[in-house]
Amino acid sequence: MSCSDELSLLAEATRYLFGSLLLVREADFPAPTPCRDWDLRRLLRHVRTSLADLTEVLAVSEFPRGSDLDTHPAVGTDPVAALRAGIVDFLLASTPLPTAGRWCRIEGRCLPAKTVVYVGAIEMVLHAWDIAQACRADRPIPSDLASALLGVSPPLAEAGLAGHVFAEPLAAPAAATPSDQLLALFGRQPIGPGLCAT
Amino acid sequence: MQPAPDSLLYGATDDPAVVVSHRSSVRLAFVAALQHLSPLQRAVLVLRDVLGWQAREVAEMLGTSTAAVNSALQRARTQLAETRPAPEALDEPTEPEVRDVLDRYMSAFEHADVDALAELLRTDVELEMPPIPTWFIGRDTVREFLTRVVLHTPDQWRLAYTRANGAPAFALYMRAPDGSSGSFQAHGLDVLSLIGGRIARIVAFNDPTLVAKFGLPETITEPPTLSRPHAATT
Repeated sequence: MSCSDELSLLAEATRYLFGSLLLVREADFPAPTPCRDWDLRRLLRHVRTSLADLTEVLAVSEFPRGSDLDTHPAVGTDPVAALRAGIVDFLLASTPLPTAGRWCRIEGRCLPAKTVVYVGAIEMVLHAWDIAQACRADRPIPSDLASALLGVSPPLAEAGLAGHVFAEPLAAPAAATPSDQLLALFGRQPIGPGLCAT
Repeated sequence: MQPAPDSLLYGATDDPAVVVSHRSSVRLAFVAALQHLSPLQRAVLVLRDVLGWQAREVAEMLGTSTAAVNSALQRARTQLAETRPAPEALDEPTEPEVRDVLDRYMSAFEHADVDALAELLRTDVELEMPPIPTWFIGRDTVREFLTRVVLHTPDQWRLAYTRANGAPAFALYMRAPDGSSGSFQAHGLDVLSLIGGRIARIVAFNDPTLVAKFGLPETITEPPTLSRPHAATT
């Protein structure tokens, strides 16, 4: 696996998130997640909404609002199906258009489109880990993927997203794997303490 | 949709910045077209053609069968064909790759070398001939049709490279009935879509009047000068 460019990074992030979604059963919807006060159903909706927001930020006027999907007959009320559709829309907004030289407004800031793509990739990967946790599965983030995201995190930190869009950093454990480091950077702890914000 | 020369769509320019900008426009149209697909079709198209996943993995991730994935992909491509341009926007081969495929396509056509032509086609290639509602899907089927109807005799065709709807295209000239004079008459236009360095779709517009709209002559007595690298190897 290589995450040397935007597309392969997104491909691996998507693979990891889709993998976590395979774990989800309807009976898991009320399960607690690493995100405080959120059960799994709420978390799935959050990821869906969050990716829809990023999609809208990235997209041009031709692109419909992500919320249209909520009423699509083929998606219905299944939050997993809705999230899968949301992921696809985000990929469509991220991949066919070159991001070089594009700027987007997010959270009142003007950011390069590439940064927004990275934010989406991080959002996908962190919540994929959250979803797996809620399903009582230990799915560390693949090392290449985690390392690549650690590599692109400084611009996000510079943009003030850590602690704002994402939770405040925690101290990484000694001898941490890339997965541990990334989870700590974005305030993740395994279910129990439940410290992450979003 | 009728083919239009790129120069009309985009203005004649070789400015790389403008070209990139135009590519973005083509892609925007493509993204807009994708919105007409069902969620499953869109997911399969993106995961297969953009992210490059195998059909089996897509099926597993979406909780469906490989057959359903293949079927959805086929339907998605068919539906997109009505709102081209074009699948090639998903995966643009590098320019030398495109050039090589186009050169070999031209040579194979002119030599009626169906084997060489078949090597350039994806296994799921589609051949469409608007306005005739005729479609051929799959390399073997396309090959059989070309052998029987189009490429049965060597040296019957001359091709000239152009671009249409943002995609590579060829003006086709057929040897004139009194062909001993070396005269070839405009026959139509083939617009190609490439995915992964192979031809995914050929849209053959068999309308001679289109050739003039592309600024090309209606009759040629010499082969088009551009790119006939294998002409001496008959």
